[in-house]
Amino acid sequence: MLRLADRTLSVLETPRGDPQAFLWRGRRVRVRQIVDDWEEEGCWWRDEEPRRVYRVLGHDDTLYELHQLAASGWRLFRTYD
Amino acid sequence: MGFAHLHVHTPFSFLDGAAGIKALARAAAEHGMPALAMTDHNNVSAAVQFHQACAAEGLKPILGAEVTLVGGRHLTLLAENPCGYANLCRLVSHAHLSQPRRRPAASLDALREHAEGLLCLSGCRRGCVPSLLLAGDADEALAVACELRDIFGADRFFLELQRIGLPGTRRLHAHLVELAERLGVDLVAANNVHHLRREDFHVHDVLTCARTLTVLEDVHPERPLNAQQYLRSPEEMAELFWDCPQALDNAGRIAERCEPALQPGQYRFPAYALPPGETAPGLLRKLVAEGARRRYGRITGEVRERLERELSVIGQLGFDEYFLVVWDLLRFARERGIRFAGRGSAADSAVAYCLGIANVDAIARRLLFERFMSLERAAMPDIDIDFEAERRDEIMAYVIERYGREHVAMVATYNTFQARSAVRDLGKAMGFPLGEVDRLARHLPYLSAREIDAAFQRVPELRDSGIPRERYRQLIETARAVAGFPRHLSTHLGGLVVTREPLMDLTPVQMAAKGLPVIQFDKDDVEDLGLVKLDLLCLRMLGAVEDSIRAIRTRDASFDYDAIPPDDAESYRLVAASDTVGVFQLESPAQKALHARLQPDRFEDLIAAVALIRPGPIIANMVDPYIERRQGKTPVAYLHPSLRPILEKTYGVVLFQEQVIEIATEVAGFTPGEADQLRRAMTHNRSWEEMEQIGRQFIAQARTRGVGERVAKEIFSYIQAYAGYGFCEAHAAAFADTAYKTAYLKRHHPAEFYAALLSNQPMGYYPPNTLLWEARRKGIEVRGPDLNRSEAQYTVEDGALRVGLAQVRGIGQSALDRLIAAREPAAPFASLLDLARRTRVDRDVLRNLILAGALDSLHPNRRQLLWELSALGDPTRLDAQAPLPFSPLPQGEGPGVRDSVPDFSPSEKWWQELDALGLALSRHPMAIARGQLQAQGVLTCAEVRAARTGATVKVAGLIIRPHRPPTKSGRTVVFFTLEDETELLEVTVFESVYQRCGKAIFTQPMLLLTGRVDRRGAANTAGALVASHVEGYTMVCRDMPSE
Repeated sequence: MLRLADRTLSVLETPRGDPQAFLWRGRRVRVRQIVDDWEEEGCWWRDEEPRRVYRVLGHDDTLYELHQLAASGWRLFRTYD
Repeated sequence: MGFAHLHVHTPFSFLDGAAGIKALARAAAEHGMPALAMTDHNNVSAAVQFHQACAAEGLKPILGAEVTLVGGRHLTLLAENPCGYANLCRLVSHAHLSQPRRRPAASLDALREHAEGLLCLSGCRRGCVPSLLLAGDADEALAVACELRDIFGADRFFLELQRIGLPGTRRLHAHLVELAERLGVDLVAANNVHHLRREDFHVHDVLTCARTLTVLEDVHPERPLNAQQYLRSPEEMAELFWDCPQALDNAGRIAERCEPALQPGQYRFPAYALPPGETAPGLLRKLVAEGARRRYGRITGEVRERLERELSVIGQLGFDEYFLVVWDLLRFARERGIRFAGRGSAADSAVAYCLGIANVDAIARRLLFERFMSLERAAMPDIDIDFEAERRDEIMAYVIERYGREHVAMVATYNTFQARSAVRDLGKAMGFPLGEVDRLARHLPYLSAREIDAAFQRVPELRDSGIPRERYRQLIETARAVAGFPRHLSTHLGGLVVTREPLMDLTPVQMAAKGLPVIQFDKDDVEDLGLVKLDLLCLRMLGAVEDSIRAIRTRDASFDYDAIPPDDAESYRLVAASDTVGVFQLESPAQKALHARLQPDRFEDLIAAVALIRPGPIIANMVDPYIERRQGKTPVAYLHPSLRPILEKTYGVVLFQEQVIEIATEVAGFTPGEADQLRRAMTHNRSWEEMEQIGRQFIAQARTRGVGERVAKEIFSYIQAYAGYGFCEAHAAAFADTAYKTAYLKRHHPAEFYAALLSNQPMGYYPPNTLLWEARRKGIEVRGPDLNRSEAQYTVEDGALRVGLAQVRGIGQSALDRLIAAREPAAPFASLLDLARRTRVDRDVLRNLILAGALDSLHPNRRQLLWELSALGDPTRLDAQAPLPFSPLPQGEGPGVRDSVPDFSPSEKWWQELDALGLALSRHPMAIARGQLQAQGVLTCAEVRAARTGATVKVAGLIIRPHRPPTKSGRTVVFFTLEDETELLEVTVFESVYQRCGKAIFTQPMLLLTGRVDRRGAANTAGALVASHVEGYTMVCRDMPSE
């Protein structure tokens, strides 16, 4: 089931800057696998922030879509379970 | 060898490359890369510029292309060597010629046929293999990869890894790595570069929108998702491919194994089919000897020596067959009666004169052959020939048939982004409303796209337009970034290449809109590639000459244009009176002002006039000294005695490019070839340092020949000021020949000449309506179109000018043909019904014919004819015998007919004629407003021309061709012509007035001016106006009385 979240997130990063773990609803979710990742420039003509998008599989078997925004930091955009 | 980018798009990917070629090469060199590849979509148009840019930066250029395959998938191909480049050209040609225009696609069979010497990279996500892997079809991907490996060989096929931050990349790469292991082929890292720096991404994005006809808010699969496709440094690439270093190493290895594929600087001459037992030099010599006997009668020692010298240079440079090719096509033109005239520096050659290529006697005029070609000269000589426009394509067809499609093609030209086109294309793509974009574009003068911001400050029509600059900030910045980028490839007006070897080994060939083959290089690239180009240009004036001749011969069969007396005093008087509207090259306001002062009375004066009104003499301030010396008001002086023989014919003034060469030869001891190189350096590479260096060499060499340093410096300053913008004497003389003869036609056969000019529009300086009124002012009656009398084009009828039917808006060639074919001399059209039944032309055409007055001879009441037309139903389906669906209104003149429907008022008819013909036929627009203007004390143009010098006057009229030529001071001066029913008046607007009134000048069709009468020529010459105030004039059009 897809759930939209769009919340700020506290993320622990690997030395290369990839997400390693994050806090969500008061619990620590460990990233088991980065399923996919990409970058989006967004609507630059409306001064939207560029972002890096990670689709990760948590240790709880939930698929999370994390957005790392250039200036505003990490957000959890949606989950699939 | 270190990492090199092997997948790079230049602006020649046409709206899919946002980095300039020089900038790419410079950045690659700064990053320490050893080489750089170019891989544009289905073309190698950038090859020459890319080759030069890389050479300048010490990089190895690798030529390639991203080729589209049938089905739409891509492959990245790189030429490993010259053989690979030839195969790439053939493959790209196949992609274009085997498919509909603008949808190139190569087949796998063609790929197999042309694989030798090519390296294949599997390409981007639209590549054959990656696209299948992304679609989840691993089996098919394997099969295709196997096929490509078999086609190219395992050592020349590579799987391309791109880490550009797109979804699915992790999975795709895992598959590609696995596939590489399975097939035994190598991986290679690339970045599919589309822009130079990360921050240039938005330029690429906007260009993509322009290409896909979308706007920024639209979603389109070809839009770039992020800013990753920039020219990453080797360090960034190493970081990106930290886990796959062999892919980086392989990029370096590929770069190392590629050899430069172009071999510029080597002439490639066409092959002329020689008669058995004949050699090219032998045949050329024979033809020149025949021509010399025809041209000169007796061959003097001077003629023989000159021809020998020229033939020797032509032979040593290998140009014999080039001359034979040109001679042959002109022979064809003569046989077919196609009028032509040589132009350009070819007229510096006596050989060209003897072969009939040029009509200027280079020996008699002491023209310098070295300006045309010399042993030292690096550049290719050009032979340019003007043909009458209507028949130029017959010549093209002949050349293609004679040398074969494999060897002949048109030269390309690139439409590049200038201010207006950038604003239009990018503005639309950025989502600005079309009306706004159009308004901004219309307010921009012709300037570079990088100057838009500055134009908001210095161009009054833009500054005062109310257009908010801030709103267009992003658009202006993006336009600046694409300034000069090619937008699309099109066909050069007349450039044709003819080669001995098949063209497709040298350049890809594609099909132009007109159905002619066109190569992918422009005229400059062609020269660098060593291809020999012919310029077969269309000159509408030659068509007008031919039409004049035909019309004159209907009443004087003995008229011979080529035997026009060379010293007709009346023709010179016409020029001296500045009565030159319509005369070739002598009709512009600047020319007319010159004639009033110069008072030309011989052919030399016309040559000088053609050469004087050019940026070189104007900026170098040579016009006034020339006129004063020519008229004997100032003594002719020479800085050094050695200049006398060179500058004597131009009264001590440097007027022609040939003189620059001669001065360098005589004063500084340059060889003629060196001197021409100096001229070219001044023309093309005017950097301060280079000019300084040339100057030092000139002065040093002059001093060794006994010329004092001060004098040498002054002589150099003359040629320096002039050389970049000068005119060659041979070219000026060739133009002056046509100028004089058209002045003769205007003086002695004005009706035929005006009819011919009007029939060959668009050409020249003045719009058709102005020409028509100018004819009327010269006393020629102008008759409107008449269905029973007019031909398609303008004709002369009892000394009057009859407007042609082709002028009627919306009338196509087919309707014209039917109208003229159905009209029989013995049975003219009797009525609208008769006309409709006999021609079946459509309703809109008949309506416009009525409104243009072309049916007035059938019935004088135009409104009644329109009623009758409405009763006809669909005229194209009219049965010749069947009764009409409705009874038409009474036919012909007679009691009751005129009154049955009231006709249009004169004012309505005037507007309708203007709309249907584009001509103010019955009344000049200013004549309509004359009463109103007189009441305000506004003079006519004729009154201003006759007013005393210095008088302050008001005048109104239509504005013609406002322009801002370069000036010595650099300040803006606007020149234009004002027209009313009485005359044409030349107007000058200086900077301060322009800054106040520029908006009106460049946006309003009618102007009201205040100014001072100026007269620079003789006291009896016409006055001109120096404006002190300019405003738009709005005509209040009340119903006008009939004439």
